[in-house]
Amino acid sequence: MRRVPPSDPRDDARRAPAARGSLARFFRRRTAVAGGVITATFLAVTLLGMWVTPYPPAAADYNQTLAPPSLAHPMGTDDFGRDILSRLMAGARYSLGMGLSAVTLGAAVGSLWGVASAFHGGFFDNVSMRAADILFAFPGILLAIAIVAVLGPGLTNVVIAVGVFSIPTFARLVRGPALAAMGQEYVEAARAVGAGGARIMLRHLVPVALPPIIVYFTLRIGTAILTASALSFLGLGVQPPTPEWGAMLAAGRLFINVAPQLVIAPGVTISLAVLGFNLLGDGLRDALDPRLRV
Amino acid sequence: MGTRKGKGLTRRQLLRHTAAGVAGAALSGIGGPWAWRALAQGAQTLTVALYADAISLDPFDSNDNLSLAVEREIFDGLLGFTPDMKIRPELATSWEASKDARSFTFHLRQGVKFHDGTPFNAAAVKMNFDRARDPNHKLKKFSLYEPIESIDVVNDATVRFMLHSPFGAMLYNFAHPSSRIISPAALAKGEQYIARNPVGTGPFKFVSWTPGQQIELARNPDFWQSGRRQADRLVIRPVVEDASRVAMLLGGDAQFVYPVPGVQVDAVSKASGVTVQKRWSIYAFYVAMHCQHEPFRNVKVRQALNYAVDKDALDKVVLRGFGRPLDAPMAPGVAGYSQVQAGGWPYDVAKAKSLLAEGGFPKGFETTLWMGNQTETMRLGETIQQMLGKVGVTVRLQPMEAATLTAVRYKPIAENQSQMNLAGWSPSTGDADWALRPLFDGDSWPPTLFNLSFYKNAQVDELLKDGLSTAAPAERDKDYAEASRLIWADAPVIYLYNSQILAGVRTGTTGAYAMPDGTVDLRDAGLTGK
Amino acid sequence: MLRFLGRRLWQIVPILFGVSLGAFAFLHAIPGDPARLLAGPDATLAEVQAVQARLGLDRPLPVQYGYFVRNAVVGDFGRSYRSGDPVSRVLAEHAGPTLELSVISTALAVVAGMTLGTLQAVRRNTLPDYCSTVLSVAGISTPSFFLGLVLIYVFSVNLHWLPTGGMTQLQSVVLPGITLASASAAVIARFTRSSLLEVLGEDFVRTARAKGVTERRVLVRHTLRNALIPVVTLVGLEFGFLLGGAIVVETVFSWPGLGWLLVQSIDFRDYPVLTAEILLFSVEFLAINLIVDVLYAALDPRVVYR
Repeated sequence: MRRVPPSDPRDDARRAPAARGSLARFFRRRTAVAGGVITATFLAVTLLGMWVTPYPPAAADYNQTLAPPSLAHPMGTDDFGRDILSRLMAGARYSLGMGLSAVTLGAAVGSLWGVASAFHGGFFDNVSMRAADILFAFPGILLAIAIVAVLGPGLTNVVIAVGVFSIPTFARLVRGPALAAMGQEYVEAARAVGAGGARIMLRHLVPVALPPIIVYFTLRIGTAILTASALSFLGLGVQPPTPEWGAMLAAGRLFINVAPQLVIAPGVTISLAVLGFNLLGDGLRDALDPRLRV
Repeated sequence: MGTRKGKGLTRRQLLRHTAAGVAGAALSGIGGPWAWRALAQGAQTLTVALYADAISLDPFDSNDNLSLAVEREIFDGLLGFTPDMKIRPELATSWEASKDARSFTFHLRQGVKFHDGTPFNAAAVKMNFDRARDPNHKLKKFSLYEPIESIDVVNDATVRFMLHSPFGAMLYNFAHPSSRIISPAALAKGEQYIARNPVGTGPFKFVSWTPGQQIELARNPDFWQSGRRQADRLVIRPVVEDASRVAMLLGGDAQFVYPVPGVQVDAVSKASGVTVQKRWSIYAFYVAMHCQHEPFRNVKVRQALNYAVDKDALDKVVLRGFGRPLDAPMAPGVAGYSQVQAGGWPYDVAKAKSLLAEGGFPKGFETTLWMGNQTETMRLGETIQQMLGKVGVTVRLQPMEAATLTAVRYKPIAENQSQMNLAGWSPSTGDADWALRPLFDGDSWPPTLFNLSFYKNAQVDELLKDGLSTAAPAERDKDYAEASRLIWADAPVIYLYNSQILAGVRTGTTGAYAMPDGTVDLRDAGLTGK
Repeated sequence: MLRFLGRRLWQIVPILFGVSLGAFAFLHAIPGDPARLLAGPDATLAEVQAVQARLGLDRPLPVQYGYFVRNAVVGDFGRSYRSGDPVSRVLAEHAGPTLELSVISTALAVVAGMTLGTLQAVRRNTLPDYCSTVLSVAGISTPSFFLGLVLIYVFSVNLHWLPTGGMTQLQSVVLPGITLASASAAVIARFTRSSLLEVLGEDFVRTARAKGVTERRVLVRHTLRNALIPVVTLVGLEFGFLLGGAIVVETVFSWPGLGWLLVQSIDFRDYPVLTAEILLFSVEFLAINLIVDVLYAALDPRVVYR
C-alpha cells in the first residue's frame, strides 16, 4: 500500500527523460513483453471471433457430443456437440469485454471516491474510507446475489457485480497519492488562485494517481475474469448459452474425468489470458512506477 | 473514556474469535484425526457422501431429504418404505384400516427398547403423535397428522388412530420418513435437545454431529431385527460439489455416494472397484405453464409445446440415457399410478406448428423460463430452449439462485410474474394423492402449494377429493387414473421425464440404497470384509 | 498518533451499528423467504406459517431489528434459523477450520512466494527470473476451482496420495492449502522482489559490497532482513483476507469453514448467521485497515493524521 512517487531523489538516477526510460525499462523485461504479446494475441482472436469461427458457436449436434480433439474439431466438442474452439473464440469478447468493462466501472467509481475522500479530508475522508472498508469486507457473493436478484441475470448485471468488487481497492489506491499531493505546494497554489474543488481533483489529484491506476487496471482485468468464473461456479454467472469462458469452465467441470477437454480448454484459456494481463501489468508497474505495491 | 469502551469491545470480540478458532483447530486438526485412526483400526467404518448437511435430527421437524436420510438409520416408524417405495412393517407388525378410512389400528412389536433403554410401547406411540399433531409445537410436518382426531392406547401392544374425516392416504403418512418414533425419555428433554440428540430404536445409534463435517453413527447391537451385518460405524459427510463427491468415491474416501450425475456414470462404471446403482425414481420433471395468462391460456398452445419437445433427445443429451419420457402426470413408481399415453407425448414438430397456429400464434412467441442455477438444470433448460426454438417459440432462460427462485415462484397469482417454470416433483408419501394434489388441484395455487401452472379443473378437483375419501386401493386407483387422464389432456405442463436415481458404490459395500424419493436407506449398510 | 488511534477505535462502535443496520436492510431486500425454505419444498402454507411464527418472522421488520440490537448489545446474536443453535456457537464451529486453512495456506504462500521473489530479484532479468515470474503469476491467474479439481483428480484420485476433501485427517489440509496459497504466493513473490530490489539499491548495501562482503552474505545479512518488514505487512493482510473464508475452495474441498457456512446460510436465508458473519468480517477488516493506516503513517513521514 505504501507508495513513494517516482520523483523520489533516491530513485534510479539514470532514467532522466521519464517517458523514454519507462519504455526502455518495459522492453528490457522479457516477461512484460511476453505479457504484451499474449494480450495482443487474445485481443486479435477476440476481434476475429466476432466475425469468423470454424463452426457456428451455438450449433448443437446431438450426434457429435463429447468428441475428443480431432482435425475437424481441434479442441473437441462439448456435451451438446458444439465445437469448443468456436465457442472459445466467440466467447472471448464476452469474457474480455466483461473484464474490461467491469474494471472500468470499478476504476471510475473507485478513483473518484478516493480522490474526493482525499480532497475533502477530515470527517468526510474518515467516513468514506470506513465505508470503503465495509464494502471491502462485505461478502462479495452476497452482493452478487443481491445485484443479480434485483436486476435479473444477464451479462450487464454480472459486469456490475464484478465491478463493485474492485471499487474499494481503487478508492484506497488512489487516496494515498492524492492525500500526499494535497500537501504539495502546487495544489495549495491552485487553491490560492481560487480553483474549484472539481478542477483541483481532476487536474491535479487524478494525474498524480494515474500510474497506479493504469497498473492496477491492467492487473485487475485478470482478477475480474477470474471473479466472473467464480460467479459462474456458484451459478450466478451469465445465462446459457452465452459462451463466456467462466460459464464454459463451470459447466464443463462435471466432465473432468469424462471428456477433459471441456474443462482443460476453457481453464487453460482463462489462465493464459489472465497470465497475459498480469505479466503486462507487472511490466507496466516496473516501467511506470517501480515502487508501487498493489 | 469512550475510547476505552470501544477498545474493550474489539478486544473481547477478537479474543473470543481467536479462542474459538484455536479450540476449533485443536479439536479438528489434532484431536479429530487421531481419534479417527484409533477407531479405524479396530472397527469397520463405512463412509457415505451426500450432497448437503442435515438440518435437524428431529424427524417430525424435518422436511429435507438429507435430515430424513440420516433419521432413517436411527429411528423406526410404525411403517416404513422398502427401497422400492412399498409399505413395509417396522415397529408395527400388522394393521387394520376401517373401510371408511377413518380408523387405523396398529399391533406393535414387543420387546423393543430405545437406544437409551426406554421400552417401546403404545404409550410411546401416542406421545409421539400427540406431540407431532399439536400445532402449538409448530413442527414442520404437523400437517401430515392434522387428520388425526384422537389416539387410543388399546393396550400396551395396540394403538388406534381415529381421524376427523376419511383420509385414504393415511397409511402413507405413517410410512412417511417423518413419522418416526422418538424415545419418550428424550422427548421429555425438549425440542432443542431432540433436534441434536436423536434417540430411536433403529439399527444405528447416534454418536456425534459436527456441522458441515460429518455425522457419526454406531451400530446398535440390540437392534430388534437380528441376523443383520451392519458396519460398526457409519460416517455421513456433506459434499456439495458434484465433481468432488465423485472424486471421493473414485479415490476410495467414501464407499457410497449419492447422487452421481448422469454424465459421470460411464466414467464411474469403468473405474475399478466401483459400480453405479440405478433405480427408477418417483420424480416427475416438467415445465409448468401459467394457464391463467397468455400465451398459455389456450390448451392448444400448451399441447403444441408438448409436441415440440423431443423427450428422447432430452434423455440422451441431458440425462445420458438415465431417464424415460413421462407417460402420465406422475412417475410409474408412485402408488396409484396408471399409464395415460404409452411412450409419452409424441414428438411432432409439424403438429406443434399447426396447433400453435390454431391457438393464435402462427409465428410463435417469446417467453421466459424460470429455473434453478445448478449445472444440470441449466443444461436441461438449454436443450428445451433449442427445441422450442424450432417451432418459433423464443425462450429466454432465467436461471435463479435457489432461494430467490423459491421466493418468486411462491408469490400469489396477483404478483406472480412467472410464465414457464422448470420443476421436478417427488411425492414424499409415495402416493398418488401427494403426486397430483399439490401440483394440479385448484386449491394448490401458490402460495398454498406447488401448482405453478395455476391450473384449475373442477372435475379434477372432485376426483382428487374422492380419492381421499376411501382407503380401498382399487377405488382410489380408479379416481387417480381418471384424474391423470384429464390432467394429461389439459396439458398444464410440458411433460418431460422420469429419471433414474444414480448412486456410486464401492465393491464390498452392502445394504446401502438410494431411494426413489431422493433419500437414502443405510439401515442395512455394511462392509463385507475384503 | 495515540489520539488518532483512540478515535479510530472509538469509531468502530457506530460503524458496527451502521453495518448491522445496513446488513439487516440489505438481507431483507434480497428476495427470499426463510420459513418457506426451511419448511421444505412440499410444505403447505400452514406449515410455512408455523415455521414463520417459530422464527419470529411474523413480526414487523423494525421490531425484528429492535430485538436483534437489544440482544446483540449484550453479545447475543440470536439463534440460527436453520439449525436452531446459538449463532456464536455456529460461527465458532466454522471459524476453527477456516483458521486452520488460513494458517497453513499462508505458511505455504510465504515459503513459496519469498523463495520465488528472492530468486527473481537476485537473478534479475535472467532466465531463472523469467521462469519464476511466470510460475508465480500463473498461480494467481488460474481459477481456483479449476486448480482445485485438477489437484484432486491428480493427487487423490489417480495417485492416491492425499484425501479428496473434507477435514478428516491431518493431510486433508494440504490440497486446499496449496490451492489457496497459489494466489497469495504470487502477490508475496511480487512484493518480495520489488522490496528486495529497492533495498539492494540502498547505500549500506553498496557499502557492504564495496567492503568486499560476499554476495550471499550481503543478501542474507543485509538485504533480506530489511526487505522483510514490508513483506510481513503484506502477509498479515493476506492472512486477514483468508480469515474471511474462501467460498470456492471450501466448496470444492468440502471444508467446513466460514465460506462454506456463508454459502449454506445464503441458501437458507439464515439472516442471524449472515448478519453475524458480516459483522465479523467488518471487525476483521476494520482492524486490518487500521493497522495498515498506522504503518502507512509510520513509513511515509509526509502523511500526517490529525
